[in-house]
Amino acid sequence: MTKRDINICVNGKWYELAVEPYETLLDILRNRLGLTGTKSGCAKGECGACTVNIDGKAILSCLTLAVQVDGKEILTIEGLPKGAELHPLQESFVKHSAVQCGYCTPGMIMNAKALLNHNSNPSEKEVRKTLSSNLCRCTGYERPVKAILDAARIMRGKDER
Amino acid sequence: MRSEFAYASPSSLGEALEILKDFGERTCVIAGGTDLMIAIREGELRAELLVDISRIPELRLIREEGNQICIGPLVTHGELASSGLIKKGASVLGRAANSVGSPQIRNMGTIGGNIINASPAADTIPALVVLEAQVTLKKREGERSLPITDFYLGPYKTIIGAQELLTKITFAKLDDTWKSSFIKLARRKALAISRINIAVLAKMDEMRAKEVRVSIGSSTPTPCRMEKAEAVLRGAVPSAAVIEEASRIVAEEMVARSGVRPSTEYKRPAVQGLVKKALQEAFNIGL
Repeated sequence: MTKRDINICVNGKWYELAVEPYETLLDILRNRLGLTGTKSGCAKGECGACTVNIDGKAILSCLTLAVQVDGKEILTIEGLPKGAELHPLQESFVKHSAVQCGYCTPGMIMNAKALLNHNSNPSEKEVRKTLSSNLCRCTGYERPVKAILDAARIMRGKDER
Repeated sequence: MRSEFAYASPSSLGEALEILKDFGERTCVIAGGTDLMIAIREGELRAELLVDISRIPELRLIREEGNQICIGPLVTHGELASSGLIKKGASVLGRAANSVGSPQIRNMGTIGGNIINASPAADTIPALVVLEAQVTLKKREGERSLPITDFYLGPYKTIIGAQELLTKITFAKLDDTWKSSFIKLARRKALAISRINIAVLAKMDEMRAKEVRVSIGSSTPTPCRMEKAEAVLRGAVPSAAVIEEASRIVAEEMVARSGVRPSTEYKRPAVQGLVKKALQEAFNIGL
């Protein structure tokens, strides 16, 4: 089958790539661009490990064809830090020890990022509801929930300044 | 091994219909991809040409046309759940859409995909059934509109032709004399496929239920209304006794339609209990 040329913007940088129609966004991120922060989990849309943001919304990169995101702007976990400075969500996950094995963490953080994009002051219930789509077998969710609520508070403070 | 296929991404409806006309049976349409991608990954996609309709802006709108609400097939579950128009004029559909999958799935999956995939467990379908929604199927030569209940032949089977595209879903906007509820039962609250889902609409005239519409999903071979139970509720002043009776009848209708199975012993009381809860919620009593 013939490859297709696509242009995608990942973490602020544009790439021109020739892709097979059956390749997923996750394949491209990990195997072509070397952005292995985004994880492959269930490959069925149930675990949330492959979550990235497109147009500020959380989507599953394993269920998205690369050809379908031609022209789109994609944000992955690697795009969150500003230089050496971690994003408040990342900082907060570290501070609250919200990471154990870490496999689900990039997906959780990208899902939380999308939540905070449209709701800067989520309730604990809203955070828990959002995280219901990120399977985590280590943390029991307590610390990730605290980390996200704390990061939201810190980010609101920064916005006000 | 993944399925291999060629890919087309028409940018207008006309172009999409041309492609479907020319390649018909050899095509498969993709929108949000949440169901289809799993088939592709498993190598189960039989089509030679994947037609991506996600770049056709005219299929992405929710709008009012007179007394009607008109939804394009590319509207996502997330967009339905947050639409002011849907909240006001068809809240049962917004709630059904909000119960699908997870935030990520709701950002990707579309109402058109939910309808066309024809899973018996689709959450928006019972809501569309009680809204008496019409679906419009278009091909190059013309279009036809039909009630959503006439669209299904069985689980995962619809009457859509290989050259046809679902182009809109329409139903009458409801005023605030209509009360509604949507409830689903699944293995867990998030991210689970419905075992049973129920949509209820009730038009109230003072204390009396003037008209009641009930549809259950996942439990009957094709989506349908529970007409015997609706008849019991029509004109009644909702009471615990009437609701009890209607719930029992729905469970009976479900068994009559789907036949007695190993799961019936469990499903009959589950349906009955769930319908009771849905009716109580719609009539706002006994909660």
